[in-house]
Amino acid sequence: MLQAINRLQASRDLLDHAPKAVSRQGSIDLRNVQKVYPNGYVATEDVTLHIPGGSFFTLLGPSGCGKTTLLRIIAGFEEPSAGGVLISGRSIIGVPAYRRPVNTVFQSYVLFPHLNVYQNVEFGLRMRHMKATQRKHKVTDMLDSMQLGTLAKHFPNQLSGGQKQRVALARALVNEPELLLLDEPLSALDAKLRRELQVELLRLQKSIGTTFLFVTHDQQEAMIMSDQIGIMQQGRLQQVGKVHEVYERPKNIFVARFLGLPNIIRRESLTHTPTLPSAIRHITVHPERITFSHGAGHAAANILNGVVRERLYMGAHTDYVVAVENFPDLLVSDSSPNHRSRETGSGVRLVIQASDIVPLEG
Amino acid sequence: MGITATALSNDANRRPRVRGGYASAPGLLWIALFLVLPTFLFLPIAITSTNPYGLPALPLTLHALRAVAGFNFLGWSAANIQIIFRSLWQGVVTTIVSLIVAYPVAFFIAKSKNYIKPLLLVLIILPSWTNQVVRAYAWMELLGPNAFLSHMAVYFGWIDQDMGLYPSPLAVFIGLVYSYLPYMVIPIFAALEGLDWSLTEAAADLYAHPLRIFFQVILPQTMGGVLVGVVLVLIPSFSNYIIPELMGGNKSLMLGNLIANQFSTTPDWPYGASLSITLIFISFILLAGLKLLTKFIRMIDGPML
Amino acid sequence: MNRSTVYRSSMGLAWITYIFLYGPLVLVFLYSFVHSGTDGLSGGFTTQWYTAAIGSASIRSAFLTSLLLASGSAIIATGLGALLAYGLQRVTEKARSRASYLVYLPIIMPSIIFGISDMIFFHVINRYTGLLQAGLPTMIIAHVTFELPYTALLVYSKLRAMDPELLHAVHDLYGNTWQALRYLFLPILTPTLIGGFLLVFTLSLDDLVISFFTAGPASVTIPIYLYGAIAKKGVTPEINAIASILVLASIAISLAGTIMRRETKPS
Repeated sequence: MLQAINRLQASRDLLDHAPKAVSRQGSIDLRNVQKVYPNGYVATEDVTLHIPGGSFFTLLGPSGCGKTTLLRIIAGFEEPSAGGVLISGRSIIGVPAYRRPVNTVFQSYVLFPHLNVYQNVEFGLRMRHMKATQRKHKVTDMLDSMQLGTLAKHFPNQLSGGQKQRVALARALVNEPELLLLDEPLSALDAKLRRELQVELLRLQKSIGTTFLFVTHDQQEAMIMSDQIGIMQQGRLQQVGKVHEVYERPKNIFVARFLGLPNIIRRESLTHTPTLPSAIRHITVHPERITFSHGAGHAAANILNGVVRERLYMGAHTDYVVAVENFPDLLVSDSSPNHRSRETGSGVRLVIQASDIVPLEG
Repeated sequence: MGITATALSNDANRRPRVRGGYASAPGLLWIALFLVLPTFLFLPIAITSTNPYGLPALPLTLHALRAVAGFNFLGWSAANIQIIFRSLWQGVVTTIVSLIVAYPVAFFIAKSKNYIKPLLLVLIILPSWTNQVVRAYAWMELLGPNAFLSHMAVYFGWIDQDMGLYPSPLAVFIGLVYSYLPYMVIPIFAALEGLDWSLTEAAADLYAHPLRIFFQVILPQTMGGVLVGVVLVLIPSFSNYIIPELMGGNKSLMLGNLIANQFSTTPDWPYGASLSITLIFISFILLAGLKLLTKFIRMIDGPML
Repeated sequence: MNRSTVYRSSMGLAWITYIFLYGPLVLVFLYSFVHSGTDGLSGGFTTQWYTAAIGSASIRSAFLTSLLLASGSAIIATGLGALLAYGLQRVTEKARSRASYLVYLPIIMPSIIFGISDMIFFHVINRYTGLLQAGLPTMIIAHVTFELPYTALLVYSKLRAMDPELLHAVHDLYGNTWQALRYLFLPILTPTLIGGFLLVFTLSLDDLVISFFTAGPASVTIPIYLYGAIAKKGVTPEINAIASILVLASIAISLAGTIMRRETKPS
């Protein structure tokens, strides 16, 4: 009893300190969330994050980075060792999973094997004691909108991966949750199906407006679908922001590498750089920003002489791997049609503008 | 703010782990109460004396335990030791014969077509689902003085006229193998199922003799199943008393019968308890020995595979 | 000696084994239809022994006792075993291996020691409290004790095979613990529970030693009756009839149990 009162008071404390905008429906607030397992393993460390309601947010990171742990904490399958979690401004610490306005789409779908598609989808509504006639309306509507109408009587073991995926989605969304959690739901599907479903999910989220919290290790997937992404490594949030912000200006080496940005250069190697704090030792330049010199002088720009090692024609653009002395191999992405003079083995001059240099921590 | 949150969240975190485990409590308590406790009540009777009815009485004494080792009022007699060894022998022979018969049968089933395997397996198991009294009885019928097999034995001069093949040690032995054979077949079959046959093919390809293939390729990999089968057969057949009782007559007294007698025909509870302790003790030694053997086999199997 | 001869000789041995296993039972069945006397099978067939068996009050009461004992103990063992399995599944590996000693004990314990210990135990309790007089209740208790490992292990392996996330899915969809039990575990476990029930039902029907020692003067089960009859009269067609009924019943029930369990595990 005392514990319950203490918990209530603490949640109210958290609320008083919270900015007012947090109360928007479906928003998520993590405050210094930490999860340590009994054997000492630290899954997440001091994670603070605000996800606005109605947005599509992706947690991105390699396996073991703690992203799934955060998801499970929000869903209610785990409790954090420390820190606060609020959904729509209300603390859910100590609230069991079955009382949270959250639904989850699992990585392995976890459809109930003993129930058919219809029964799977209506499960949440049944648990909340909704009347049968009402249930029927909602379930059939949902099945139709997911194009599962003909499969209503089928059992999970008779469905394909993509169909199971849609049933799992339907089962979650029919409950109209404030927040939908998706744990790498597309990782078991083949590439083509993945692309299709990525677009479908994006459209779905936009049309119903529920907050989607999506977890994946596929950086492309994250960039395609999200409004904002958060990159995690070893239990810590490395960077959070709108997709293009994170891509344009990655904060540190890990983020840059994880997003597939190849040109990570030691700061001393370049003479023309913007003013940077002394702690910064590495920088990166986007492949699209490196240009080939036409010979004319460039003021306040770094000029590098190199040799083309590889040339990869990608259609809309061409990628060049250029070897430069004292530098790691640089990737240059060029979308101009003129490529006659840049065969493999030919010498080239690269131009890197100071304004295109992105500092990296670490 | 962070600190208060920590203190609270921590106990919420500790909560769910063990709660479901309490569901086991009634079942475990049941076994503890109705098996462990009674056994602990029973075994100490071994150090009591007897009253005129053979029931336990004070004072405490080691008389019964020494009786097991053969020390009775006539001095030392080897009778008990003989009984123990005979029972052990009964167990070992049953196990060996079961093994020799079971292995080819298991092999046959394992190599059969997939759709017929379940049927063959069920057919092997079915007899073990019948009552052991009925099973012994069935053999009594087959081995009785009027039965065909007995007539044949008389014809060959193995036994006298009008005698049956039962009661006799042979009958006991047949009855035991009959009872426990399925328990040897199943584990060996399971081990054969998990076998990597490509090794056998490779050996055959290299002109190895089938017998050699068996002993050097197949048998080592199925040792695990063999050992399980041995455990399932050795200990029960060693301590079985129904079959020797029904089919052995009075000639071959086994440990199980001896114990049963102490509580029915010629009551002597302390003696029975001491014998039971011996039985349990030997069973555990056998079990421990087999477990060690399993570990040993696994160790040498490892690098070889 | 090539591979097919190996296969064929093992097949030959297998056939002999099957005959060895079933021959005696078939014989018992056949000999339940003969007239008395030593005519054997050539004397013609009769069902007199079956009608006599059904007509005999003592045999009918033995059947009834066996049935009550088997069904009573099986129900209790199935329920307790399911609980036991559920709890085992929720605790750590260490706790599980420590509990496994207790769980396997009834299987390892030689039945004679099992029976005698319980006999003494019930006798002592009866002496000091007047409860648990030797009879059906004591037999049921003893039977439940040796049936528990079987039901528990069956349910446990089924629980292990279940996706652990299924419980989370139920919670995620607003189902609390009771609802999880009713709408997730019970439906999925039902075939296993029934299969377990039928298995231990058969084990109880067939038990002799433990029943014998924990029985009261009035509680005679079929195996006990058979044992006594055989010891007294030896081989008779009447006994053959009763034995055949018991065998057929055991086989039928066990097969049903296996079919139930096959729906859940592939092997």
